[in-house]
Amino acid sequence: MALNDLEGLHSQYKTNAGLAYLSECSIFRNKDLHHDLGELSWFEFNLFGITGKKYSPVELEILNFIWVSTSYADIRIWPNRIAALASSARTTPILSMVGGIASCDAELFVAKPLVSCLSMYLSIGKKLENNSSSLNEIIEEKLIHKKTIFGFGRPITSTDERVPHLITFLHKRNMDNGKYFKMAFKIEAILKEKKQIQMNIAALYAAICADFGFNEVEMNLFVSLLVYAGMPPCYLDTLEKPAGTLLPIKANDIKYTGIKPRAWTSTK
Amino acid sequence: MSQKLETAIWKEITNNENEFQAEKSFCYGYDVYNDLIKNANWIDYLYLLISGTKPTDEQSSLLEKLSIILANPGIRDLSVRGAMNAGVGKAPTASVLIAALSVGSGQYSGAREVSLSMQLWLQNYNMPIFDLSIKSPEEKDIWPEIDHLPGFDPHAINSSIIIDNCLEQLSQYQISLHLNWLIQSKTTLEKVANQPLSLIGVISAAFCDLSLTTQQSEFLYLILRLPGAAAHAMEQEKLGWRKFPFFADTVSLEKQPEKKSPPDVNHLIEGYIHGT
Repeated sequence: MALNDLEGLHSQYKTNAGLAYLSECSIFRNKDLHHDLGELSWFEFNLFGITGKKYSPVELEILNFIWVSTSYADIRIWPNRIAALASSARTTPILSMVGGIASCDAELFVAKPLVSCLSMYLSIGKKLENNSSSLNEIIEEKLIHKKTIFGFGRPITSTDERVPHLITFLHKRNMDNGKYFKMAFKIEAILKEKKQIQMNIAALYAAICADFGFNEVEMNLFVSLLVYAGMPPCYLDTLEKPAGTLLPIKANDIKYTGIKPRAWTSTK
Repeated sequence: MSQKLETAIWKEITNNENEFQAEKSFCYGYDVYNDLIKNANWIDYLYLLISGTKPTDEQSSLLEKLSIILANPGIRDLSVRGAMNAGVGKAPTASVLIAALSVGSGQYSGAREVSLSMQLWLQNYNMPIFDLSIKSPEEKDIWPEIDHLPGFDPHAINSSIIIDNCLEQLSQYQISLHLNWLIQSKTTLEKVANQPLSLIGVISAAFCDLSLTTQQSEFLYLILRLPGAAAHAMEQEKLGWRKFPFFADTVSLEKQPEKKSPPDVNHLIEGYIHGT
């Protein structure tokens, strides 16, 4: 049973990912990498690695726009600041990028809000298909039980500037008609009325990915490099400054709220 | 900088000449470079940093024993194997540890399993009937589905003697309440789970007895396993990549591919050499 699983896999380990036949060829998801996939853009190739699907030119434009429009080259933004701090500490470019990317598994940005929002859409979509509840009832139930509605929660006075850009981009391509895309705005209308809150860009990115057929893991893998492109400029800019000088902090910039000085030996 | 950086952990005193240079640093009120360096030991300081409180003698002793169990997960452990893969390629030391941390973070043999296993022990401790169910969040998130019971070994029929040895060593303190409960409940728990207890299960009970939260325990688990990852990575780097298994005879494709040869470019190369 369980032990036999290990015994079996110890002698023979089958994979569908791919295999490199060195000096011959490399198989990638059942395709010959160089013969069958070599003409793809890296972006399209990466998507094929994640979903096993090929996307239409307009779908690729939209998915590409999602990456481009979220990569801000601002050293104050958390993943960028990690990359810049690593640069200020004079470590390697890859270690700097990895530090920034690792932080994107966060609850407040990138991975968690996007994946949970997509999961929420898919779950709401099923409920609506089964006619078990209306969208109003589903959102009302979440509000009553104070459940987090990922992708929504931005104060009504503060618009996410990426939202109008994305809507325009989609509208120009006649792609602003997906089931989940429209659902995002219907949810926002309910939340605006009841709670004075609106969507942030995660609500639309997740809706587009749901409309394009992504599941949660595929969405998670797709967004792993969502903000990556903002990091290299931050790394390079910091490299031009003297080491250790990124946004310097004085001792007086620290507000200490802890215990007064005490001796180690006199405390238990 | 108009916004202050707030902390209840760290206080620095500078001289008037240079506000960027500390003359004294206090951690939770203790003078690090005058008092702690003389009077504290590493384990006590570690516990202080993670929990915010100075450990009792028993907590200190239990954490020290636990640190020995954790220090080297062993050469077959997934996180150590991750580290060795980075090490054998002569990657920087930080890359080695990042590889170990990534692999050692998960729900199977990783920090996330410690957290989930602690939750199981905390909800079942001293209960008349054991409930080993785990609540999944309504919406899926970044973590994969839980596919084995945390704290138990899905790949074994009986628990190793190592489990009993560790339980015995760690349960000798008055604070070892969850550990002693685990000793008493082991047979029943294994029957309910239909799987033997794993070392993670023992480690999780020890973290419960150290009065640490699941988050504090995850951090300690990740930190304390790094020495072994470093040691094995350095060794494989020295031994060299030729001795490091590539699993050439083990891995194969589910579906036999149609292999195509690379294009013949010899005539082009001849042209580069002999052409103008």
